[in-house]
Amino acid sequence: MSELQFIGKNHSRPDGPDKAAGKALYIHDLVRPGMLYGKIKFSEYAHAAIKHIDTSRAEKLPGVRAVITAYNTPEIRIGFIKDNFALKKDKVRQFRDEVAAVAAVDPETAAEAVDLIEVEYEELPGVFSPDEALRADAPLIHEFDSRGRPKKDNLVPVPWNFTAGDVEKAKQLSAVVVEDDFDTPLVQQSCMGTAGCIAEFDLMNNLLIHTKTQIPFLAQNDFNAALTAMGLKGRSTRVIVPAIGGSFGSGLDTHAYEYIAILLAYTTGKPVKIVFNRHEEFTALSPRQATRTHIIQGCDANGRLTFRDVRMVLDNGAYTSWGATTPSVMMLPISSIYRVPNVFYQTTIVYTNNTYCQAMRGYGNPQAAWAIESNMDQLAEKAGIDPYEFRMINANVPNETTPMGLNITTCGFSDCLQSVARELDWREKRGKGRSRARGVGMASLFHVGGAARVYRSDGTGVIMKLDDFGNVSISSGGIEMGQGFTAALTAATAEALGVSPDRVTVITGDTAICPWDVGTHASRGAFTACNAAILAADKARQKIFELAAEHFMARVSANLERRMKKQQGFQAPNLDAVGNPTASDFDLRQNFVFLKDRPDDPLLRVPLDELLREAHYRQQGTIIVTEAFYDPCHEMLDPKTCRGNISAAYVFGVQGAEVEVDEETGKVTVLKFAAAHDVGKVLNPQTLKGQIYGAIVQGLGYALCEEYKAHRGKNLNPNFLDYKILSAPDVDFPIHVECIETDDRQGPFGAKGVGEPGLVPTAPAIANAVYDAVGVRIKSLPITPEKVLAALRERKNKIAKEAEAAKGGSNVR
Amino acid sequence: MKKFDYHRPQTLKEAFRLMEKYKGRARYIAGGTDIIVRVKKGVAQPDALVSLRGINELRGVERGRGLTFGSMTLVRELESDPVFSTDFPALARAAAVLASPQIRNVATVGGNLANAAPSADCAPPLLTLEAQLTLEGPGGKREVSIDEFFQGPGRTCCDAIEIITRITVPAPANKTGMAFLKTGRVNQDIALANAAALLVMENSVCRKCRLAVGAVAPVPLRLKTVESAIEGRKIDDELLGQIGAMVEHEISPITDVRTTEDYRRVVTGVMVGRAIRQALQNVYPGGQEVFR
Repeated sequence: MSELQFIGKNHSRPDGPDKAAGKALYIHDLVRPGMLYGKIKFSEYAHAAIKHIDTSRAEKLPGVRAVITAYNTPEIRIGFIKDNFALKKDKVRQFRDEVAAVAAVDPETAAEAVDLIEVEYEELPGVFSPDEALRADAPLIHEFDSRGRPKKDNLVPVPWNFTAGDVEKAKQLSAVVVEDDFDTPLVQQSCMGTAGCIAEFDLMNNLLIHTKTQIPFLAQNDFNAALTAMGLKGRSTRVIVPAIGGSFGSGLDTHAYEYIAILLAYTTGKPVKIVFNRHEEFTALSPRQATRTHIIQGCDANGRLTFRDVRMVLDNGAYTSWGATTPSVMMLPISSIYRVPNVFYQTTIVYTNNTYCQAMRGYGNPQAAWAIESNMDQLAEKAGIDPYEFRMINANVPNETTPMGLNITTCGFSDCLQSVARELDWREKRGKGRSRARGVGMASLFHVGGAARVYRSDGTGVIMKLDDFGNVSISSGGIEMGQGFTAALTAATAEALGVSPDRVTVITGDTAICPWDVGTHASRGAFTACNAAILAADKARQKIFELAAEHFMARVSANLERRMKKQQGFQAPNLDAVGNPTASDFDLRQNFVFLKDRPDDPLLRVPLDELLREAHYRQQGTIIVTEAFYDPCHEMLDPKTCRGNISAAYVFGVQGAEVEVDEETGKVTVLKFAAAHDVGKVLNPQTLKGQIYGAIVQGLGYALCEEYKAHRGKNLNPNFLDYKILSAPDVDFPIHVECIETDDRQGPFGAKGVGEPGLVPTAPAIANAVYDAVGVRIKSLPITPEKVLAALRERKNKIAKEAEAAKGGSNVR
Repeated sequence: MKKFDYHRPQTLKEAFRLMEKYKGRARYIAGGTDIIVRVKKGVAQPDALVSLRGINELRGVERGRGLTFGSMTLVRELESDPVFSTDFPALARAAAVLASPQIRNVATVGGNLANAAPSADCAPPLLTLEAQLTLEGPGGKREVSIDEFFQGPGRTCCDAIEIITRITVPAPANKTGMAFLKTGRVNQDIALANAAALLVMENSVCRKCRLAVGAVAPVPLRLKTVESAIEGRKIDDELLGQIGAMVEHEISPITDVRTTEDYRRVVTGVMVGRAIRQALQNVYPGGQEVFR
């Protein structure tokens, strides 16, 4: 491809102005004629039998149009292994279980009606940690599996195990071995725009649902199944996705509230809207999984990693979402970050009566990175090697297949390490700030960068349509949720087709218009859709050039004649020398069709729109519409061995921080932050850096303050007063971001996926810096002042005791 | 959220009449940043809210022997108006770190006090300044010391209809230093603990010491025992080294979802010590006179 016109340059986001000015329409803004408001009655217990539901008072309240429960609606099974139900019958397994719902003429009436529903429960003993749930005598959360077979334990039947080489032998042969436990808490996606939907039926019983989702087509599939369960088999679902105020993985499943809106809409014959308030967003959506990881790693005398042994326990909560597949992503760094020949990985996913978990940006990778990267520093210390050098020794290299079968093509890992070390002044600062309680630390990441085959198809389709004015509409199944998808697809379309970005309109979020896409996840949106756009643009260019072969010279002649009439003395050049160009002689750039060998002749070019009109407005005219379906060249994991090249490309990154610890209060202050990411190719520097800055701040929240606190399954901080995310005043330090371009040939213009990686290594980078500053290692997130202070005290007591023991010893002598 | 009537009287008399009419079922609303949250949560379910925004006599600042200002003074004004920041830097500082700019643009100092949260950021500096509050109800005016104002979490010495109309702080004596410090989980946060110090120095000896802390007792708290241990003494490193333990002894924090009792105790001790050092530096810029 010739020199790039738009890729790699800053272009403002097409969706930016409307969002900034409040004109964009989110689910909260949408109103449908005759719309009712739905509200859900949630459980009052973590684990209880439902004895009786009395809805009579709610039904009598003026303005109430329907009250539904599992007892007066068809059963709709939902979830990754169909262990969940839209409305709960017989028993509740978590505080957020949906036991009833109402539709009313306004939100206030709906809320009042929900309070009038009386549910009689008989409380059952609950389990609130994997340890409790795994006890032999633990109460069963699910008595039967989704096929109706009796269950004997609280294990989620989704095991993820991986073995490569001989870990036990490697343990024996290693010069240095370090093992430890690392914990991560539940954290919430904290979307600015809460979840919600409007469901409605037409008179043929076809469903139209406006909903906040990242997976419109998988959702369509799920809702079609619900229609079947409702006795409406064969009726169709149209999913429309309004503007989204952040999703971060919360839109990767369909949720009970969506099915409840569907049931209410069907029952009432009216559109029904359910939108979560902030409290519901916290308590009735699914956070990122809490994990406990036992990790052992070893290296030889030269600091080369010999093995990695990771055993992880995940608290699944009461039901199973797609989040249960996060270990497949955890497995990527566990098997493949750094060159490590022997790997053992085992997961135990456990049902509890806690809120059930789901996907969040990074999809398990932050939990894995927390354990691996903290432990890497421990191992480096024990081996007597600087942690940066230790990472350099073990860094992955290009064109190598890992034990998991991941085919690493481009790899900018070492460049990333060097960038962060340089930016942090590593050699000057590492290990030298203890007297001032200052330290530097770093951590690395490995993630999919070329989509991820977690579903039978990882494809995405686009339709490219050119109009009479030279404008291009590209419809895509991908979703803009604030990440810059529209901006990336606009630039890629303009670049690939040869028009200016202002001619491009991106259409997303309507299953009736847009071609299929598996979902906007796995950092795959821009990677897949831009690749599809390139394919569709190639087809469109071919058609344009065929039209040019037919009409170009005629338009040039007509334009010259008109000019001669208008402009006295203008002499038209002799066109005989041009001859009759064929389709392969043309090029298209900046909205003009021209001859490849005469790119600079202003008389020998035709505006694209003029050519398109010429081809359209005539007998037997034509217009240009093309389509493409791109499915990356990767494979699904073998279900038995967990091997397979799951992504078409992989990304690397390193983040580091300089921190200062207040030894009296335990407070960690970030002084400087540096990030270097192998992005393949920068599509739009401003949008890309925005992604990384945002991810770093989210990662710092995970590192320092975010925690979904619960007591016996009940969330204690369902609001931003007590669930603390960082805001602008907290980011009062420089963040340096360097993008390493490795130009991956699978990527559109060489680009790899960048959506998730920016928050993956943030927390261990901070923990490693804290250790450098004050010599204490925090092993459970978040790194709160309380934990740091307790660790500092413990260290002080230990040192004092040791000093006393030494003193005592000398007295005896 | 329960529906409520909304009134915006122009005079105090009219406000009192409305409150009497609703017989205890109405609440005042100043900036609304606390009461509206409580109404939305259903914790407060008033039949009516009576706004104080239209009452001019609750606004304005007068300089006399000190400063008297209306209870409807915005937190934003405390933060940015030099009338406050020049002579009462600790009060301005407390205002500057109260919640977020959006909140500070509507929240009022009177509302912050009347809400009587133990964590109220305006309270500790006003306690160290020994502010006088003018309360007014249908029965007339009375003056109370801010020290007597707070009775418990959400409870004050105001009766149901009385409101704070004005706040008076005395002019600072010569060689006065003030400081305010706050610990939150992030920068924009309710205080896990906060602390204010006011010192009047004379030849390196502390003539007057006023210390107050928040969020570590049922009310914003004057630390009178610690104050008396400091008054009349030279403030040196030895004395400062003892302050943490003394503070920890005088407070009664709790464990909640935000932090632990233990952490509040420790961090309050540290903050009071630091606030004293900062106040000293404000008396003696550079601090040489003390730490020589």
